[in-house]
Amino acid sequence: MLFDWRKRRLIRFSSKGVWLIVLCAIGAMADQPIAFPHNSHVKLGLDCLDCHIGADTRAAAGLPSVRKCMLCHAKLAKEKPEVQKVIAYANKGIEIPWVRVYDFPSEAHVKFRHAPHYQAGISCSTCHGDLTKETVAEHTVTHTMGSCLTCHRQKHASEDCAACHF
Amino acid sequence: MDRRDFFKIVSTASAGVATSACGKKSDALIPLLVPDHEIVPGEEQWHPSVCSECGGGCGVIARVMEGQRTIERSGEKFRERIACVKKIEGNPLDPVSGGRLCARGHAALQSLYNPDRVREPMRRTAPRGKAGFTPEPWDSAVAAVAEKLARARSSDPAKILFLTRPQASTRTLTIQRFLESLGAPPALSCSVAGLAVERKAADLVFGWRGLPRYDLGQARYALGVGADFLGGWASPVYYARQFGQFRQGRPGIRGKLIQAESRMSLTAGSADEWLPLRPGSEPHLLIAIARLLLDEKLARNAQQLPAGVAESILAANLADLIRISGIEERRLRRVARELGESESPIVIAGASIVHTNSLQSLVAAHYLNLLLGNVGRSGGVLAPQQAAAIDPVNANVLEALKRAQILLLDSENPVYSLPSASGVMEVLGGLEMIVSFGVFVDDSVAYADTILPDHHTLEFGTAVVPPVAPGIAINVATPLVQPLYNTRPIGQTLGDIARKMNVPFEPIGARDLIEPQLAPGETWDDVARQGGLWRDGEATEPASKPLGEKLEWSDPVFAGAPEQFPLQFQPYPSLQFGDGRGANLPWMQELPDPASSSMWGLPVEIDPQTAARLNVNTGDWVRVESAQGSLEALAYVHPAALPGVASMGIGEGHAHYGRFASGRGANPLSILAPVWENSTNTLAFGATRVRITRLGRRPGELIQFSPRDREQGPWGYR
Amino acid sequence: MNQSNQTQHRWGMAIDSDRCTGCQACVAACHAENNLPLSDAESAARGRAVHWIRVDRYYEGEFPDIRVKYMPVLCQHCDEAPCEPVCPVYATYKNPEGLNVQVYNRCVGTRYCANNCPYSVRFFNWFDPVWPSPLDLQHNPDVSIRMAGVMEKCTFCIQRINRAEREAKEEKRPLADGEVQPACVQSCPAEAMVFGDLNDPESKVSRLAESGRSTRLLEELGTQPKVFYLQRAT
Repeated sequence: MLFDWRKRRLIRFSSKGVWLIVLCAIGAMADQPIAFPHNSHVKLGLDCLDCHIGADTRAAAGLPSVRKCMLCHAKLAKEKPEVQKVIAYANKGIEIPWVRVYDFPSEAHVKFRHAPHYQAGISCSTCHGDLTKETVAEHTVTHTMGSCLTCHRQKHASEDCAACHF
Repeated sequence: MDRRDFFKIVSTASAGVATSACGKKSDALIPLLVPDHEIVPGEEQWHPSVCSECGGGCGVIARVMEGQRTIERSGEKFRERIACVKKIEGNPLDPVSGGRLCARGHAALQSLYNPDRVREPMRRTAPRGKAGFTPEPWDSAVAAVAEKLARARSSDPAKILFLTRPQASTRTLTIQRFLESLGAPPALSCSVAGLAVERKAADLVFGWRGLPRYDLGQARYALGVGADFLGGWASPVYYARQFGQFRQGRPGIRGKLIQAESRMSLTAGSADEWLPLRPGSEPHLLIAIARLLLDEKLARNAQQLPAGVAESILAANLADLIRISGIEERRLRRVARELGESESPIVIAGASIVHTNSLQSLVAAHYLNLLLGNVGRSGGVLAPQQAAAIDPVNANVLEALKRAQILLLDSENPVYSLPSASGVMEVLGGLEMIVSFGVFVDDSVAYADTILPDHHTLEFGTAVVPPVAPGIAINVATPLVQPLYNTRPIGQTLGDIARKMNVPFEPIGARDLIEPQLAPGETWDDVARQGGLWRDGEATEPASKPLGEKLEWSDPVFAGAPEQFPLQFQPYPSLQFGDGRGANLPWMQELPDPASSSMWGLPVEIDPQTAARLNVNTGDWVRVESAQGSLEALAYVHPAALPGVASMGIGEGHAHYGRFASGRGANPLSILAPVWENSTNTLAFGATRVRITRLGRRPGELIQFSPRDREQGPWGYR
Repeated sequence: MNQSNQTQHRWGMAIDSDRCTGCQACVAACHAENNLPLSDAESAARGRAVHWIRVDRYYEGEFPDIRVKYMPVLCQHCDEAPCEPVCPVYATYKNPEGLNVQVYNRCVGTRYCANNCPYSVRFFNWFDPVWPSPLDLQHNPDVSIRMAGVMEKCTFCIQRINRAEREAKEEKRPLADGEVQPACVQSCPAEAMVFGDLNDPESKVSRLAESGRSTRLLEELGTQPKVFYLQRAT
């Protein structure tokens, strides 16, 4: 049996190794169902929190539901091909199957919460890059435990393992 | 979490719903079904519900959070965000659970998300008992059932039998109303945990409908007889809370519990002293104690005892009674004296294991409490709430099955609960139609012609009247999450059937039960939001005058010749599986048994003397044989088993009950002789003699989590 | 460790044997809260069933004068934990609040810690856990799913501690005694288990720990456990 779990462990290690590569690859591929232009929405004066409503108070920033998109797009820019895709999802009553760009894999055992970071004054761009310059969100900032800890140290936040990993 | 915190949680959760529902009126918040699109990742909502794993009817709160599942719609696969129940906890407002919960209550989650749930209506394709089914659309399934029911009704409605769980709820009321509209006899239950004898005794002695409530928390000295009230009897969470209060909840006062039982149950193990009673001698012990109290002038309330009862007690032969009970006279005299001298004594009697004479033991216990002057008093025996009297009883089930043509099954399992020798399988095999409304395919549903699956309790609204509760209590469940499958609530299905039959019928909802009870200023919304309607326990009835005038006792009857079958066999409702219905929950399967620490199986418990004589060791396979049949099981040599008594937990040995239970272990009820309790004709499952033979070591073993029975020095853990 | 983050909490538990009925509600509650891997008969027979808390039962005396002692045993969160110094990768350590923490990311699965634990409360994941769908819908998102090759054990429900501390901080108030309840403590019907801050002399757990009935498991080993057992009164 020793062999058995070892084999599995090897698999885990290798998948962990692959993980970073995969994350970078997602950003590059960004095969989203709809080519959502972040920059043009920001330019129109929308705040990150308008759509990602949980970032200031909750664990997850959250993705807007298709209903939320339709609050504007029922009237605005209806003729654009990408918006028509949104309308199609809304008519079918199906959520848009967005591909997550930033995520911690389950092996990382990180229980991340947006709220304390937002409340500590960390701007969204620190971890997510400058979305005023991006159309479809890309994985531009690499998150490692080193980058997390550097910031935690600077801000005198907890450095206990169990603050994030449990 | 205390009551204040819960109000906070409930109010914030509802506020969340209110804001996202865009200013709908507050009554639009009810029912509290959480729409899937209003579930925010990582955020929790708490909503009240009712536990339906046992008959106790605890009010619970459920933690609802986001989950994802994959669904297929027109050939395409989608990941769908849905509201999921993540955890169940006791409702702190509910006087029964008080924010606490038992192991089975936690595992209710695994019945909601059980991979073996019935997902759509089905029709039988294999011979009866083989559990072969094929999906069938609702309309045609309902139409087929309605047609046969209509025919049976026009010929003889008395041939329609409904079996449902022994719980007083809107579900039971709906079923009763349906049966009334058909002109059919009332529904019955066949669970071994149905407590039919306890109800009968309360009715006979005090005219109480329902289960008496024992106010253990206020008592100083308790004698428990035959009731494993900490291990699942009647209302385990309520009595465990009472027990905590009894032992260490009052400054300077510590209650003392003496437990007389024929098995080292959880209650006997937690007691200060265990009186190892011979099986079926509960009446003898109780009458001996009553006699000792009268003799020693410790019966403070002797004048209230009916003359006939006092005569019977004084005419009893004390020596005989003590001999039959198997308890040392010295110990018995001491217990009687301590009981009589205590400031606040109580006798808690029940029939966790039913014998032919169980009614006599309960009647004797009621008279004993009367002698002690604690009936209707704080710290004594209290009358049940009237509303609890609506539940179906376990009485004459086999006769009813034999008379029936059409069987409607709702989560009751007669094939498992009745011995094979009773002929229950043949009876079911010969019925004209069997319809199941349950959410699982079990041993009995395997015989069904049609399955019209119900929602899980957490998926629809109900109101349950807990059988044991202070004051008036009705616990209310509102639907929490969207039904996972193509199922329908039983009320709706019965309504559809009735409509097809042109029979007037309306199902009863939680609201119908609650609204007549509301005080001015209270609303249904308040009740639904907090999870129930509760009124403080004012004494609804004064200390009742006993109605009965006589006290009888008889020796228990055991089937099987003692020469051939030397051991008394007592199956007992287990902590993990109750009457057997918890066996499909993996958490309960891997919960170590409190007596043997076994997992994924229940052993037969044999005392060390008998084991030595049979050359049986813990972990050996043995054959347990009665005159009616035999089973094979693993042995556990129990250091606290009574000599000559073999016990076995009920729960394993299902022919059909999903992947976690099917074909695992043996059902001790299956080999019993069909012997019935004298007054209710419920199964006397402690009334069979067996012999045990060693089969030796074979593949498959007793899996114990903590094999050591005794502490063995500092490094001896596990 | 940064001084400004030092909290004054030191978490501990008291278990009253006089109240405990051995009902195992704590065991089931723990499974529901902490995403414990599901065993089956085969893996359980190989000793791979996982229970972060178990109820040991010990028979004392001989029939008919026999009694049972029920004793819930969970990680004792020892101050001098034998599991910590044997870990070659520092995957188990004492955090500032006195919890004995297992860091799954660091663990390489030597199992030395389980070997050195006198209470047998550490469990190894021999395989990746499997839950037949849809049982996985029940998973608590606040707790990791552990993979093959790592040790796991009772955390005192650290997710609940973190949450309560966070909420108190957001509301700018101190944590109240009894505000943090691990799943086992919360569900115990007889209220035999009490959890709280041992640094607060007024907390219920401190008072129980100081009471005359209080003992600790295998104290003679010098492990300094933070779980206190109150002996039966008789």
